[in-house]
Amino acid sequence: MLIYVIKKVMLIVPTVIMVMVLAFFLSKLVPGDAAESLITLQGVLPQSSNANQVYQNNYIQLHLDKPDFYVSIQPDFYPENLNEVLSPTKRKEIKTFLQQKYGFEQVLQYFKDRDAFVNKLPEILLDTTVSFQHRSKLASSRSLLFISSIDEIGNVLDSLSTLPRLLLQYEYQALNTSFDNLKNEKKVSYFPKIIWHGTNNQFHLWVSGLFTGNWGISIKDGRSVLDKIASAISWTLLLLLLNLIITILIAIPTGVLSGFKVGGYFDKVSNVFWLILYSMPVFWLASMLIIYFTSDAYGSWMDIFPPPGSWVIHEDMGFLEKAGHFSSQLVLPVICLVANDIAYLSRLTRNNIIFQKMKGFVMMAKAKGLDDRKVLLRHILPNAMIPIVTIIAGSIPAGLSGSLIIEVIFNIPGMGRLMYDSIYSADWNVVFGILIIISFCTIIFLLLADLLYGWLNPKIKLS
Amino acid sequence: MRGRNTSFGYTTAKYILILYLVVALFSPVLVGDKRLLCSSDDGITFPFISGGHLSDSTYGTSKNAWCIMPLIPYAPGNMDTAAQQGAKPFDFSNAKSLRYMHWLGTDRLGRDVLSGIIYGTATAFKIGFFSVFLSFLIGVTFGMSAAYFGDNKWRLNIIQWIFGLCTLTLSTYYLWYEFLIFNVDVFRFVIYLFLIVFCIVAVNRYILHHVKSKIIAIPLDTLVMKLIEIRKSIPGLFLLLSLIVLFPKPSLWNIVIVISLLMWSEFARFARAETLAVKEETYIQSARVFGFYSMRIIFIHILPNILPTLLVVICFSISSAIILESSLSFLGIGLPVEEISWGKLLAEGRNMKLWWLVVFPGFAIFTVVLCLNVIAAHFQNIGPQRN
Repeated sequence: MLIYVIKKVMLIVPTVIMVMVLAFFLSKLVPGDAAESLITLQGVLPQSSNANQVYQNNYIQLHLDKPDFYVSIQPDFYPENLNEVLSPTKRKEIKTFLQQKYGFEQVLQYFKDRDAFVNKLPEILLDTTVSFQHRSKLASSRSLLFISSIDEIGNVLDSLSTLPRLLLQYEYQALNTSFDNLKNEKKVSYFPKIIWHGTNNQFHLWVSGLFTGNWGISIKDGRSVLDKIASAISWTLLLLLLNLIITILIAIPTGVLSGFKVGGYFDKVSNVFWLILYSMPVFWLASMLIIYFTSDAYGSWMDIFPPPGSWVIHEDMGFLEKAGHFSSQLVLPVICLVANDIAYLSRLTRNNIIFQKMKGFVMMAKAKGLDDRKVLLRHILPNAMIPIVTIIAGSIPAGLSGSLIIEVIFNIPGMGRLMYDSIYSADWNVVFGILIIISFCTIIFLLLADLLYGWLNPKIKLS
Repeated sequence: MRGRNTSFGYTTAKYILILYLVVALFSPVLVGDKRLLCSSDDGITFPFISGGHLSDSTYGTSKNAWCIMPLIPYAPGNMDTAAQQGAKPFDFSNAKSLRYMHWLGTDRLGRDVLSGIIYGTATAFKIGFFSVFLSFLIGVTFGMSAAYFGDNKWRLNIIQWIFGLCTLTLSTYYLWYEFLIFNVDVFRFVIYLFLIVFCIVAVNRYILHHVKSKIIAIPLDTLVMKLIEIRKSIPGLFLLLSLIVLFPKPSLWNIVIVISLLMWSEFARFARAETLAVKEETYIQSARVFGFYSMRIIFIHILPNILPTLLVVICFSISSAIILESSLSFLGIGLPVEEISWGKLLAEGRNMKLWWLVVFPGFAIFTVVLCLNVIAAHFQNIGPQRN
């Protein structure tokens, strides 16, 4: 058994690693800059003078200046680590030039000369001895800062060369040569360069943060992500537990009953009923229950439950107290949650009972003279329960997905609600933190289901 | 379950689905505020196609003029000023005439619910069919090749392995940079692709005939099973939400892509299991003895035999795609503003506390899903009984 368990646990390691890689690269692909969103959270106005400094501090603090992964494969004219460029606008500019296949060195040289040229401009522009026409021509060359198309840059530089007595002679020459250099060094073909960055990369730091409890902070309110998830997960677990208990209590007896007498009246009615319940979209059921049962618009007797969204959370209340306080509000969400699951599990139980009834040992038990009830309880039921128990354990994570929409509709501050809110406020740390937590839970539950099956059904281990 | 009842349910479900399909296909003709065909003194015009230049008044002036109107004369986005604050369904008292009635009421802005539902049918079926088509392609390819070739059918020697991994990395690298980073130059791209494929084939041939070394098989089955496991280890709606935010602009096709990235694993699992069962049948063995290519065996001999089982998965997948899309629209994520879907109408109804905005669109989703489930159950019952 121990070897079996160890083997199964070893098998999930690559899955966990792949999920982490997936989540990390998804979090890299989303739009937005974490260091920039942090500025507003720190109370610094984006236009203020020290915003740049604060941004760079954040950028380094969040390890955004490190390379993304252990290895990178990129064209040979790329820099080793583009993330080291601290200024966001400069980084973006360099990227647009690299996309047009211009060498990194030449691009940097061009930027240097261009900035030198543009920085000298105000001196000339304030010089009243220069004619207005020439000054306005020079002023228009400030647009060099914003254009990245090589033809447009060439046009601007050409128009400057027509000035009769070229001002800023030295800077203009430098700029022109570096621009020519840039233009001539356009790459046609490019070879891959494999760079090994070592462990000092963002992915490594992110993963080690996951294991040491440093999950980053939410950019919405500055709280730690782990903190937020911890306060949300108790609600989701509560819903999950209630869902599980009620589903098992209703689905298994009804499934057994209809499987016991196949084709009977109860079987026929319950079949149709479960099919209808199974096809019912959760959010439709929830919306209808809210519309009809939480207000007195359709008769005062219909106003049974308090309207959703009236959760008042006091931090000082204990968890049980909170749950008790809102138990009347939990009735409708739990009804919606269990609806699909009951239908599914009941059908499954019924089919399993029917499947077991056809086995030889049932015939044997009946031949021995046992009555039907005893055959069902002692022989059929234990065997039929084996796959059902594992399926219940394996379908717990699917319940997490189902509770997302219920939590959003009924305004329950659980994981699903947190995920939804975080997506709306572009709070990616929280979103991918939840994704990781949920996937870990799923992997562990699937593993448990696997182990449970091996434990209940020793035949499996042999194969 | 194989009694008369099931077949009655199946026939009913089939006809209801066909009705929905017809409505989805003809939704631009059934619903709209433009006339389909007008005959006036100038001749016959099609305002429906050429634009609504023929307003009510000009139509009334000509003598022997006639026209064909759409069944419901309200476009889904149009606000009827007479029916603001939400007209009730089946309310005959306020309507000008039977033609201009809001059969299923309007929302608080005066938009007709029935026309919204009819347009939503088209959206739902589009998403259902295209996402199932995509995920069928991905999943069945993976599942069937995993089951047919297994863990030790594709054998390579060590040199081929090293060479293969290198070429795989290199081609991924070039495709990635040409496609996503640099502006794609199609001509060059084709040349690159041709060169890469040529190199791979040539060197592989050379290695195969001239180099002798230890042979290791590609564990195709294990790889595909691992992929399925990775997909299964992230709950659907959470994965859907975190994938949909990657797209800069909301669009219907994003949802199709993301949903098919979600659902391929189900097809792969079933296709793999079924192929494993069919593979051992005698007709496949004899096809192999005849020396047919693997591709021919897979597509001509195995695929038609596993299709009946896959039909069950197709039905379930269409219904779950429709439910996923409406959940997303219900949450207000994914679809662009101008696109109308059942989930959006439902969400609006929940916010506005109007029962007809909740009951009718929800009922449309429910009917489609129920019909698909009934059909799936029917296929499950009549499907081939293999061990």
